[in-house]
Order: sequence, then structure tokens, then C-alpha cells
Amino acid sequence: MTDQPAATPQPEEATAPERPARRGLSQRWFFLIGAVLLLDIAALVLFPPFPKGGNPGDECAFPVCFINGTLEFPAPHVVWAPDGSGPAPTGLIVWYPSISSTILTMWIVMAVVLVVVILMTRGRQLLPGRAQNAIEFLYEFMGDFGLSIAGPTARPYIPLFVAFFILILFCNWSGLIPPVGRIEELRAPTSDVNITIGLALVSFLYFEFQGFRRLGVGGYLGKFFPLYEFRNGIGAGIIALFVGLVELMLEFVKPVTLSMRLFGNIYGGEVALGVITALTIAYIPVALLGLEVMLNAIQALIFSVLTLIFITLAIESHEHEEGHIAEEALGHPDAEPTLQPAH
Amino acid sequence: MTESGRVWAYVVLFSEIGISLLVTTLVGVLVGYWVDKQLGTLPIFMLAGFLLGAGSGTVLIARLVNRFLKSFDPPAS
Repeated sequence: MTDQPAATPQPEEATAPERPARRGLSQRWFFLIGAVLLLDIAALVLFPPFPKGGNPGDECAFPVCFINGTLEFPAPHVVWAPDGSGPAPTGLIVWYPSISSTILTMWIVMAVVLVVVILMTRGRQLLPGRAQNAIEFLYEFMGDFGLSIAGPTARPYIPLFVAFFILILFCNWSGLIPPVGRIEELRAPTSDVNITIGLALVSFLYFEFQGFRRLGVGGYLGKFFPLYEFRNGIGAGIIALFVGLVELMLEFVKPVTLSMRLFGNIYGGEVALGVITALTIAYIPVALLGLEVMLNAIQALIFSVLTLIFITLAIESHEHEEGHIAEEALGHPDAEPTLQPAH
Repeated sequence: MTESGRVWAYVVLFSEIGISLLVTTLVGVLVGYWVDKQLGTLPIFMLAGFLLGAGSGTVLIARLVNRFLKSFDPPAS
């Protein structure tokens, strides 16, 4: 018989005293959410919307009048015209030199960005301070990102890429700041097709100029009119000419796509935000606002990345293109495959 | 090209594809409509413009994709 040692009574596990359920944080958030909702309802009751062009107190039926009050039409409001005349003449394409609300807002955005960057980079040191470090980090991050997409040949054009991105980003985001769009004199610059066409034309002229500068007039035009392909045969020459004409049309489609994509996204986002704000209350517009912040940043990135890519495409010589189309089409023995095997 | 760069390059490429096809088709239709209005032959030239625009857009997209893919994956030397 073995003596089993008496089972040592296990000390009772110290039971931690039950902490009371933490209600403080959730209660605070509950009250905050409720307070915001009540504030919104009170604002709606005390300051009801009125028809555009009307007076406070005029009847405004939900939802049509509410929506009309937040809509802004594509043509921007004229802040100042040289001849002091009133609204711009109506029409699809009009010549009316003036300072519009979008131009004014763009100048304000440019001034703010320039002042901030100049202040942050004033008195540059070898060992950067916090502000200089932040600017350098941003520039190098964007530069590395641009090089990762467009390749090392894009290095000389990184300043333009970063400048386009910063300008368009803050122009897009300016439309999400509450007074902009509600005050007639302020409106997101890139929600105006005139501004986006201007940006696209600058981009277009720049990459065409770089193409002519790098390849020469004959070399650059030779990409669109490859007359040398006729030495491979008349069929090859005709095919190459057709392809070159298609390429020439692509060059003029580029500024159209650049401007329309940016305008469509930003203006559409503003309209959507206005309609949602008119139809709902408090938190749903805020959710859409968050989405717009992200989408606006993506559109700025797309514009600047495409500009960088178009520059690199413009400066590449014909030998580096996949343009041995005619030889491939006719099964020429010297033809090289255009697609490389997947790595 | 880094992985994150490749992802954003594809995003940009897809964005350009969609808008290029839209713009070329729309330009074809508008030009055809204008010619029809001048000659009173609605909708012959509008349809022809649509087909030409869509066809050109398709060719443009094919070349764009080809060129982008080639720049994404440079040939091994």
C-alpha cells in the first residue's frame, strides 16, 4: 500500500475581481454621435434650404429643390470679366476671357502650396530638420515611385511628375473643403473642364516637345510616317503607314483622355457628394467624403503617371518600340516577337 | 519594376484603355453626325463614324496594351 501523498490542496486560483464592463468610451461615443445628429437636424429646421437664386424662407420641396440647391453646373461662375459683363455667354465652346471661380481657387491652392513648400525648405541644411526631411521624403518617395513605373529613362522628368501630382492632388481635394463649392467664388479647379484641358495641353505639349528634342524632327515624325518600311515591300510599307496614322491619332487622343478622365471623375464626385448631402444627413455624406478623398488622390496619380509614361514613350526611338509590325505581319524572317515570354 | 509600381501601372493602363475607347468612339459618332447633318444622310455617316471610331479605338488599345506590357517586362538581354 503506498501512501499516496495527500493531494496538496491547490490554492484557489485567485479570481480577479470582475471589472465592471467598460461603458465609459461607448457612452461617450453614443452621446457624440447623437449630438452630431441633433445638431444636423436643428440646422435643417432652423436654416432650411431655399431654392437656388431665391431667398431664405422660400418654399423648397424635398428632394428636387434640395438637390438643385447643391448642384453646380459644368460652366464655372465668372468672378471677374475684363468688360465687367455678367454671366458668360451660353454655348458649348465660347471665347470669354475672364477669371472664373475655378481659376481663382487654383491660384489660391498654388499660393498655399508654394508658400508651404518654400517655408519648409528655407535654409536647407546637410542634416535636414523636420520640415526639410518631410519634403525630401515626399519628393524621394514620389520620385522612386515614378521611376518604378516608367523606368530609369524617366529620371529627368520626375520634377514635372511630382509637380503635376501635388498641384492636381490639392486642386482635387480643395473641392472637399466645405466652403468651396458652396460659395460661388470658390470651386474645385479640376471640376472645370477648362482647367483640365489646360493641364492636359501642358502635358501634351511637353511630351511632344521632348519627343522632338530627343529624336529630332525627322526621327520623331518617322514614328508616324515610317516610309523606310517600304524597303521591305509595298505591303509592308502600307501596313506600317496605316499603323503610323493610327499612332498619330493616338497622340491627339491622349490630351482628350487626360482632360476628360480628370474632369469626369472630379465633377462627377462633386455632383454625387452634393446629391447625397441633399438627400441624407450627417454620416452618409461623410462616408462619401472619405471615398472622394481616396478617389481624388488616385486621379491625381493617374494623370501624373500617364504624363510620365507618355514622355518616356515619346522619347523612345523606333528601334526600341514594338513597331516591327509589318515584318511580323508578313512573317519576315527578321521579325522579332512583340510579346516577351512571362518571367 | 517593383511590385507596387506594377500594380499602379496596371491601374493606369486600365484607366487609359476605358477612356480611350470611349473617346475614339464618341469622336467617330460626332464627326459622322456632323457629316450627316451637312449632307442630310442621317444616320449613314453616324453609323460609319461609330464603326470607324470603335475600330480605331480597338486598334489603339491593342497597341497601347502591347507597348505597356513590353515596358512592364523588358526583354531579357
